[in-house]
Amino acid sequence: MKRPLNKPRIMGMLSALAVVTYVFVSLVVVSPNTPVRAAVFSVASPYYTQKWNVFAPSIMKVNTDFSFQAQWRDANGSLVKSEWVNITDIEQGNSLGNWATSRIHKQSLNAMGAYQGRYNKLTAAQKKIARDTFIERSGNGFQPIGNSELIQKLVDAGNNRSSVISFLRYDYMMMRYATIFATAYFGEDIERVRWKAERTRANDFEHRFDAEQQFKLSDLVFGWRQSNVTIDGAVVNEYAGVIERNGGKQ
Amino acid sequence: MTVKKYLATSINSAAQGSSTSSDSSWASRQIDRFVAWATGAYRATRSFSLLRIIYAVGMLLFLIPSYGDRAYLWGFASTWLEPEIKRRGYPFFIEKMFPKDNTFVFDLSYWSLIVLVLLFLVGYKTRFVTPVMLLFWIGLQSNSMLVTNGGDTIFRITLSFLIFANLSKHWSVDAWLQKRRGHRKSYTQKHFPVPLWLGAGLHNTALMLCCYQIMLVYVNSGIFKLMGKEWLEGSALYYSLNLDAFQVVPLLSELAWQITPAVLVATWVSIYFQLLFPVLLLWKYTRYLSLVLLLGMHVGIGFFMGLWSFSLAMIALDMLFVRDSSWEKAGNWVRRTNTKAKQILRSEIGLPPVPRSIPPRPEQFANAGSSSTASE
Repeated sequence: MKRPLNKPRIMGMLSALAVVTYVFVSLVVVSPNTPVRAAVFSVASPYYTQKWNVFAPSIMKVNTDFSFQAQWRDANGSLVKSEWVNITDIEQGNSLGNWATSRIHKQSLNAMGAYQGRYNKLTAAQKKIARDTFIERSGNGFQPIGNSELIQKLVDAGNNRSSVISFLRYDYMMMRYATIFATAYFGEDIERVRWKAERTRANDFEHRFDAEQQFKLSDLVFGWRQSNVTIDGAVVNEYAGVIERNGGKQ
Repeated sequence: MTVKKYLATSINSAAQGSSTSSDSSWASRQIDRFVAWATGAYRATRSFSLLRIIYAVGMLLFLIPSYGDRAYLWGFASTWLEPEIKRRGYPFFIEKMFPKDNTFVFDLSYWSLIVLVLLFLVGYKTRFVTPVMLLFWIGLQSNSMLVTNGGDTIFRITLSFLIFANLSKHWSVDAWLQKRRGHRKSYTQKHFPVPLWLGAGLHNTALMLCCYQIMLVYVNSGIFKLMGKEWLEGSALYYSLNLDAFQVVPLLSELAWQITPAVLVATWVSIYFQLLFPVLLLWKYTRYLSLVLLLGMHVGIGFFMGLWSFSLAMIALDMLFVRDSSWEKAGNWVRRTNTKAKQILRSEIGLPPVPRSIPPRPEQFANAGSSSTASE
């Protein structure tokens, strides 16, 4: 005899259905890219997006800091070039010895990581363009290369438009981040910025007790970008406060 | 058939291994057992209450140290992130909860979130506080994609399940108020009574989803680790201890990686206990062994790498695999040991024994019914 459906039984079925649905959705979300994943991801995103491969399969071995350099005009109208300033060092100024540290220690580190991730999706020819300046002459002065011209130049070198757009979007963000930071740091009207991924790494496990440093990694330096950002005074003050709270200027 | 009768019949038949009708199949009996388990009682209520406290501590460790940098990380000074933020697809009202163009409302929201987490910590009006806190939590996270870690993701995902769970049955203001009220019903209980099958059904669904979520994290992470050369050769921990961003006290990290056997064992334990976690749960002794080892691993991650919110989230979810009866046994053991220790101490210093009996062994409660079967 079939057991009649009643409220607890219906609840039990709904409960099982909820679990099975989430198991399916989550497994698809963490699985490699497939057409099914794209469809499920669009529904699950952004609430149930997740990835659990931060330290695997390849463990992170390289420390990547975000450093910038800036240019501004002095009283005579000549361009002044600054020293390199390491934002990551400043943001991590208070995290040493602190088990309950502000999330600030992750910001520039993750920004540079994401930027490098997009840079790595470009072809070798596109990477060369990306490392070059995005500024061109205009009459007696300079101006940023126009968006459409820049996109076309990069697409011509690799034919992967979505990777190009994705990289340029982040490049624009990095320009704004570095410009605001430089304005607060130097107290000048910043005209250009450029940045680099400053990389260091520990010796391999086999050479962990060697006194000699095994790797001398070269920095990944990007070209100059025109600082076309309108910055609110309150934002500059906030950045100046961050620099002050984290140990001041280097 | 009333719900109570149905549950009694199902539990009875499950216990006896027989069905109420002679032609019921094995599958039907299993379904009955599942229905009885899922809708008959609130499971793991102590673990859920502990999870509430641990989650709140983890969230406060996120919010309070970052308070001074809130405008820089999520507020008006973080507008440079907008081109990416706008593409994440959060609904309009979520994006407007922590507006970057209104400092007063942003600060009010930040304070509200801290207050909500404090209410969650003490377990006051938890049914109402949990969903509102989740909304504010998502609202803040939607303002930046750069400063979150796996722990924040776990909070976001599991809190959407925990809305349906009873998180304040123990160690909470809600429980204290309920106890003080005695048999009298609250306004909500009087006007919106929730039947046991519904309340327990939702609660236990949240339990299953949370347990599945942590298994997913472990197994998924374990599979990825199994594909990594450094994980297999046992050196991965050495590299992670050498990353500047994860060195809280560099001297401690330096000391830790110099103990080669510890590096090898900790690396392999983290792969195999994560990978085999669902299997290890099947037997009581391997379950407790894996929980203790994973607890140690997470304390280590918090201590050496400073990832406390991730560690606390994982520890809280691990605890869900400890049954209410096990917590009761552990509690009774602690009380008995404490009383015995006091008696010994008093006799040593020549005081008369405490005029109080030692709490009975848990077996004596065996048939007294589980506290987890009580409805709200």
